[in-house]
Amino acid sequence: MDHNKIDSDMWKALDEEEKDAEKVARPSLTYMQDAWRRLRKNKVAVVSLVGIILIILSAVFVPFVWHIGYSEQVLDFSNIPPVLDIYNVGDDKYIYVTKEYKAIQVDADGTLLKKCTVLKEDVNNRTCLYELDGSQITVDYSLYFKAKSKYADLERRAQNDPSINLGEALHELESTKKCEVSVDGRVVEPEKQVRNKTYIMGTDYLGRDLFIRVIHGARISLLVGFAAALVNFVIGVFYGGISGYFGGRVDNVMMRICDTIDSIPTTLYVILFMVVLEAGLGTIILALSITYWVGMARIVRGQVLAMKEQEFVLAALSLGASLPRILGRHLVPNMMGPIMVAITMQIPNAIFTEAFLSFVGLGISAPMASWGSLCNDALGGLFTYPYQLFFPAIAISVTMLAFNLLGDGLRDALDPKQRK
Amino acid sequence: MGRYIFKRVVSAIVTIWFIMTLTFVLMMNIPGDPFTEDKVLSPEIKQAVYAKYGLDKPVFEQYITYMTNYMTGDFGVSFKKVGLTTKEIILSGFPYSLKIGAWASLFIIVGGVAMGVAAALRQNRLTDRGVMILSTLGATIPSFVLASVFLYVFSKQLGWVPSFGVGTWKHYIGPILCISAFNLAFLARLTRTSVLEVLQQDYIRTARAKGLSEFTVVGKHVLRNALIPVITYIGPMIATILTGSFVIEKVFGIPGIGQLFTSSILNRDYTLIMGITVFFAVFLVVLVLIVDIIYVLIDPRIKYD
Repeated sequence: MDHNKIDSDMWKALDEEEKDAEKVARPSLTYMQDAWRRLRKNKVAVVSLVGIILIILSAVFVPFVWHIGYSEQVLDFSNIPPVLDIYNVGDDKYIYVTKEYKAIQVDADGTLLKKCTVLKEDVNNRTCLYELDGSQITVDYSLYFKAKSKYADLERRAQNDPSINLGEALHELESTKKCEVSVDGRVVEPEKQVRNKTYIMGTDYLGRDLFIRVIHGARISLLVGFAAALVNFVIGVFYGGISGYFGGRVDNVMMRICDTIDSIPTTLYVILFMVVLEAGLGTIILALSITYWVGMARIVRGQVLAMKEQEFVLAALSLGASLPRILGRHLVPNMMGPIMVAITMQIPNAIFTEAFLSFVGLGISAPMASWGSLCNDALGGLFTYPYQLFFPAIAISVTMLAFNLLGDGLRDALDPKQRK
Repeated sequence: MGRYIFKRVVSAIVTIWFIMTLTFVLMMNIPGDPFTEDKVLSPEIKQAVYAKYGLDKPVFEQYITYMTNYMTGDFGVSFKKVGLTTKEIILSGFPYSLKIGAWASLFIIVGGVAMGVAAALRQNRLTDRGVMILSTLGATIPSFVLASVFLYVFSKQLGWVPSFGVGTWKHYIGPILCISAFNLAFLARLTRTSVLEVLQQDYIRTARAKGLSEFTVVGKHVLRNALIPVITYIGPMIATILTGSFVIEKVFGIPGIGQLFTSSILNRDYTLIMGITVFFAVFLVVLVLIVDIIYVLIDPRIKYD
């Protein structure tokens, strides 16, 4: 019984350092904390995330503080660009002449004041006569008009004679001065370029502020994006969860249905849904949700199949948990990684499809604006008013880029295979 | 393999049937009918018009007529373009769309594979970075933005290409480039990943160990294996080109089917919408089926039960 005897040495207290040997040096991180730490290291993803948050914040709050509403029209100030070439007409008064040869009085710093009073519009001589505080302003656009008809003539002849260089002639036409402005008979040149202070991004063809319309477009686009992603998430989790959990024949049938829906050209059917249902925001979200949940359902099913045999599910089952509880409390939290990546990728998809629909003319109806419909509106006047396309196009491209880059970053951060 | 192909054909037929039925159901549920917006018709005339188009029959009978008509290639008459059948309209636009689609497919496959291979062989170097940046941009800029910018820069500012219409080959440059951008970006990425994966394989090391030239290794061993996943992408690619045609043809003013489709939607020309939808869907399903069968024939490693 020698080995039962305990040496009294063993009852001595340990040294302080020896006690620490079992201690975990760093605080243990949850999965999400770990992922967040890795995401933070990815500069591109962080910049994208900040960008997205900024876009969301401005979409939510800017309309409350901006001085112009998104549907307010000032027909006198239609198609005014964000940068103005202004003419000095004496006495520190300035005017801007639009592409439609309307004269508008502006401040020296670029605030629009009012449209000048029209005295006479002489269509035969291609001149317009305006009056501003006693001085007469003449806008003469006959030179450009002559050059234009010369070009049109050339274009007609070019159809039979391939040797005529139309591109060059077009370039020549472009370099002709659009109009000549004279004040009381004295010809004036544009004095300086100023930024449009009233409408920082200019106005559209109805004189609506483009800036607030782009912001309003962000509201619509983001709303569609997030709502569609949410609906897809709910349907996907239910469908994929049930399919994966029950397996066997149920799974087989449910996945066959997915295959069939997959082989249908979805965009075509989104369009068809839009034709059938009343146009509107809800319809767009509905149409997107009906067709785009399949991808999410597949991801969830795959995850459920991989996880349902694990002990924690069995433990929950033996505690008497119901299917919704197992799915909602045990399975879904464990597959948030792939789901979040899929959602981040689905949001830009939905935004893109909405823009596409609006561009085709099936999206939201006027006076509401989305980025797609703004681009569509701008298309008609593309060559004359390119800024109208520029701003919504930049907005949509930057948003798509940010979501895609964030999605890439999230995938890297959440992919458990890369965990060390 | 024969069994697999048979199963694929059957499932394609089921899909086509499903698509046609879905289209029918959707079109039956459009509020109102094609004649509601005309001036109010007297009941007798209305009856006569309904009888002429078979709208007075029970729904199931209409469905049977619709299916048999479509099977025999009779797509009905256009409601809005008087005197033209849907089939004539579709056939008038199809050549333009096909021309753009075919050239775009060629451009995407050649360009995308070239870019992807170049990026993979020069991994993490300038070529690779350049290709990856281009492909990120290509995948995020919507095609209608790209098309509008193209028009503005190359037609308006530089005057290199004509802006609208289908007169010369120059008219096609813009549409083909813009419709390709998204897929080109995607395919370049896919090829890059695939080539990088193949480069890790043992048989590539064996090929190098045998003393084969780099050209033979890449051309004969890497490419032939790396391109197999690329083939599977052709199906989705055709679908994207198809939907891309809706906006591209609109921007560039090309009288193809995409343009016809969007204008038929705005005109609420229901028979034309229905005809073009079914035409597109069937065209797509058949093309994807062909690609799938080719895939089986090409890849000997996969055994299909």
